[in-house]
Amino acid sequence: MTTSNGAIFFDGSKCTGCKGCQAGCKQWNMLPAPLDYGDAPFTGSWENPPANTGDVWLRVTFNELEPAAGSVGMALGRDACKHCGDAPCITVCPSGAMHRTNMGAVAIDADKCIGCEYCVAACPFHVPKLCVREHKSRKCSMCVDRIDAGRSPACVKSCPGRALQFGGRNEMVMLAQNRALAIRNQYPDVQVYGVNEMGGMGVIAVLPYGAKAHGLPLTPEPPLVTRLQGVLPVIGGVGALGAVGVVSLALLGGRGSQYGNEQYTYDPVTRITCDGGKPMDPDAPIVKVGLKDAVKDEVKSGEKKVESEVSKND
Amino acid sequence: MTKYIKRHDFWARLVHWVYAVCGLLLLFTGLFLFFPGLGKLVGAGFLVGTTSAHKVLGIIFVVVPILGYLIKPSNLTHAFKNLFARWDKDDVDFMKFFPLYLFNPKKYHMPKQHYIKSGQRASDIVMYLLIFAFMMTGVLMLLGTTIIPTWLFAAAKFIHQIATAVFMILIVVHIFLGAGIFQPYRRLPRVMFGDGYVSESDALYHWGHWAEKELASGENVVEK
Repeated sequence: MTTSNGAIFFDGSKCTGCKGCQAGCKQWNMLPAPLDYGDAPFTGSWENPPANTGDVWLRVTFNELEPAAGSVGMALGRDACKHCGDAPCITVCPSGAMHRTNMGAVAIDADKCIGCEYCVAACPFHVPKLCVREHKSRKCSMCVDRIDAGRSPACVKSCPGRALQFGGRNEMVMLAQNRALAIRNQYPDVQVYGVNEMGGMGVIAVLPYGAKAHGLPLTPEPPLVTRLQGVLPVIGGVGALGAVGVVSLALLGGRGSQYGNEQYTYDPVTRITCDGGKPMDPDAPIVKVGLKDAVKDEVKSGEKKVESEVSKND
Repeated sequence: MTKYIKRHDFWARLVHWVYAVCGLLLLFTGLFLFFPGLGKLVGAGFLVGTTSAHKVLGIIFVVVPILGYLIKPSNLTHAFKNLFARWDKDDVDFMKFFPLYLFNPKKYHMPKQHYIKSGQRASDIVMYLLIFAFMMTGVLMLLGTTIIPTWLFAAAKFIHQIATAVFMILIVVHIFLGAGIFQPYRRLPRVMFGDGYVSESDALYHWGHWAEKELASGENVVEK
């Protein structure tokens, strides 16, 4: 992340779970919501809907805390794209639809998205989702259109408690660190999340109860298979080129073999295989005797014959 | 008059034909997804076309062998029986000398082979495993993350890509030998891409043990 990047600051200690940001995101991005009775069934959680989808790019998460004496506590979070500095979704995208904006946000160019879902599988936060209506991946773009027009993202604008703020990334990091220091006595497990994780994120969060309690991985990283996938095209490409090299050498070696002059026949009665009418030796060695060797053998056998005849005469 | 031995029937050749065309097209259309740089180079419009074609071809790739098996189950069972046949000394010797034979075939008189050469048996087992992996993971990826869990999709994609890397290497050798580019194998394409017959001479050269059995029984032997 560069210093010119913008970032969203989320303060979990100020969030009231009002879901204004959720509604603001849906409204600005014109994302349809299910309206019919029973379309959004109760799942036993205050989270609604229970997961992000192609039409839900931001959700307030409610993670129940370990029950303290006589009370129920919730760690409130913000489930949306973190705009990672090292974004695996950009790396794996085959069409270039997933890209970084001038402000450092990670956004999808819908015209370029082919709906392969590679980004869906690569994200450690399970953020991009396939929009079934459009068969394209969709996710938060940090409201790139609003930022370009000098406004703050829709979620930030909708937050009544100033739990969300937007500004330069360095400024937001400072804000987060100062806020964490300020509330450390009240929340001893407070953690600033997103400064260095995944190469530095575009969302800096103050998590009063620590990342784990807010349902976030302590050290986020792309799935192992995504990390390994980078080497497979290299293996495949180099291997195939190597194979072409090997068969090219074999092609040159094989050109001199002149296969085709042989005329093998087999007599099932005598069980003899002939080459051009001449019976072949069933115990012939695999390595054919070279011409020079054959001449040498003939000379040797000839010499032996002469020697034996000489000894007979003697 | 030359004796010919029937090696592959119509259905086996048809499935192989479809698989050859389909497999090469799948490889071509899949390369743009396999190498992300290549996809970005050709642009999203082209990529949408190749990806859609990849999906349709993938369905054919899954359906054809199933249909082939339903129409003539003995072809697949016969192939598998031979793939896993016990190796004898000739099979081991063939494998031992094949690398040398590949580069200098005129110097080596390769040992007689059964219905499938030992080297091809090893290669075919890998090929069948790759096909199975392509089919299973392809179906899972076709279902997508809206139906299957994301981790399963990621695992399927990973296996699909491993299979692609191995397939890219194996197919080069398979085409080199099977399409008769290698001089001593030059008359073999007829066996799978032609009428399915192999001449007595070629059969004895390539699959000595099998040819002798067939010539002795005369069941699949014709004179032309």
